[in-house]
Amino acid sequence: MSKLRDAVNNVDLKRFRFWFQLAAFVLFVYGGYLAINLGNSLPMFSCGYIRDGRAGVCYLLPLQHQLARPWPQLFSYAGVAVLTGFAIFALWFIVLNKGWCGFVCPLGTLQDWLTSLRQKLGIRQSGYTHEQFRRLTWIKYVLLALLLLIPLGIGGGLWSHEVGAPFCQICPGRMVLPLFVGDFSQWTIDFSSPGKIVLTALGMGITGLFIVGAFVKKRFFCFFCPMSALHYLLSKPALLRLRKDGSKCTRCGDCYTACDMEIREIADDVTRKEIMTDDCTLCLKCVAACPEKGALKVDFANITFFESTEEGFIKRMNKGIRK
Amino acid sequence: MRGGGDGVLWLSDQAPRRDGGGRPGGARGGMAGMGGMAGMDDSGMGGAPGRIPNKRLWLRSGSNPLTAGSVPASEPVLLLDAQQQASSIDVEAHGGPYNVTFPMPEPGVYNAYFVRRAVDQETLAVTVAKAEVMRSAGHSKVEGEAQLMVPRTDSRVPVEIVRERKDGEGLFTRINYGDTIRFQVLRDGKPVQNARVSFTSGQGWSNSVQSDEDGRAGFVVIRDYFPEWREFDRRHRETFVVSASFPVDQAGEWQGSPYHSVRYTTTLAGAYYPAIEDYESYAWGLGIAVVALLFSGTAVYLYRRRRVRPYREVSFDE
Repeated sequence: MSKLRDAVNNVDLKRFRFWFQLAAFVLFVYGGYLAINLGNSLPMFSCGYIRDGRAGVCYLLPLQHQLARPWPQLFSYAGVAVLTGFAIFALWFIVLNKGWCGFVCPLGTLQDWLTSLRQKLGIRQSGYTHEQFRRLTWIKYVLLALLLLIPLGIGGGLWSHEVGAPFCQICPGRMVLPLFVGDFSQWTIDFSSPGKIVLTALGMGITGLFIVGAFVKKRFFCFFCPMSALHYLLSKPALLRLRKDGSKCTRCGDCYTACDMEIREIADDVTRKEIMTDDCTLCLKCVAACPEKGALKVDFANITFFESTEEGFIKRMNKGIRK
Repeated sequence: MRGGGDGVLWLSDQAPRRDGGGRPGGARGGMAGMGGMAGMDDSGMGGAPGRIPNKRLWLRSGSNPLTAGSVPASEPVLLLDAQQQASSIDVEAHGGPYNVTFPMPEPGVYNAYFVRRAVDQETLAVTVAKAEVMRSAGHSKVEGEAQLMVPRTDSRVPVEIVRERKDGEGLFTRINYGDTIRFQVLRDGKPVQNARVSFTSGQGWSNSVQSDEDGRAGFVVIRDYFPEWREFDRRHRETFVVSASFPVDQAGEWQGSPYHSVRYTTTLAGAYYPAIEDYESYAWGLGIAVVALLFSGTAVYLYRRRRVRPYREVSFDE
């Protein structure tokens, strides 16, 4: 048992993540061709606009459609469908917590691949200042609120159905992910109504920004992702958890340096045990980068299965964990 | 040329107007459109879960959808449901325009046939009005959808038009402006050569061709919807009517009346919609993405350049 634990703690996380992410990407982008269908309440960007290849649909798409139902329906029988969809989403989410972002989300994986490309080209990365970080971190909550309120407004007759599923219209995943099955049909501006023009133009602009942003900044889009905000609101009962023992932390800052999301609390906060913040993607790089035994650990249903160790740190350092 | 009022019978899911013509009313969107017809009655899509959607079809007269009115009739409709089970649907006895209603419990293609035979001036007129109605499962794929989409015929129907499917067509696929749609005219299941096949668009434009040796005829769906931009509706639905007619030298007797020839006429109606090319632009999409990419890329580059401190030599004056 201790050998198994040592093997897990000494794992080459970078390689493990690469293969895990690749497998998840193939599953959710091409799984539909093998008749795999995991439903339409998935807690990550398995894009519904991948028509045939998708193995499931990101929950935000059906959620927006459901909330746009006329209010008399929404607050009667259609409300059951909303609650059912949300319950299934929550069940999926509870298993992996924000690990869906760090290990499964195809759009997140794509950003990691762009980061790898940048590193191979020898171009340095960009980062936010602490002040920029503090200001920008609210954007995902604003997007989440708009994502919920605009469809509700449509259902109430305040806006036209033309702006239905507004977040999907501006999400770069709609444009980028279908490319992997050879579908370029989303790269258009829809001139059928003023609302469509604005949203599709915004979507194309954000896609251009996404490509540059994800190239120069690790996990650029995750910082603004409303799914990430929704995750955090539900993360309390999740089974997969990131925990910190502040008494073992020397505040060396290795975890902060390794963090794609530049979360300062991971290094600075030595009082909280539940150290996962709303921006965290549970990529577990911080655990892998920590040299102090047991300072950072990952629990599943309160059972620790991966924790920081000196031996693991040295092994990973020798392989170049921060390449 | 404009299609005229010629007494051609066809089945429509849109009720004729009370004044006997004009633009049909009662259209409801949401139905998988191709060759099928939009609109369900009140228990249809968008209704409460668990309720079986119903479909209502009206018999209309005149190949021009713009002016086709209602026509009295009493014949039942032969229905071939999604599972290929046949049943007879009686006309609703309410005194209004001829219409029949049938349930559509399963996703798939439902074929409805109105068949009329009458002898006039020693010629037996056999008229078959066919409707091909599709029920989809929203945007979701239906298991075995490709199989469900295979066009079907029925041996009890003397003559019919079969619409050939587009590549990869599903229950949610639509016919759009610019598409070429092909039909096959069959009599007793066999192709009919040299039948006169006419296509009439929703605005009454029509074209006629002769069917080839395989009974096939094709038409390009023209765009006949030119609203002001602010009134443009990407879901705008028009109805086309395809009719085929041909004579056959055949003598016999029908209900005590002798005849020396038979005139077959068959129709099939369907719906078509604006093409994506009518309202979406790749050039603008790519243009905006490239501008955003170049702008943000340049901004990042310049920002980084500005933050690079120039080399300054420090010399000590000894």
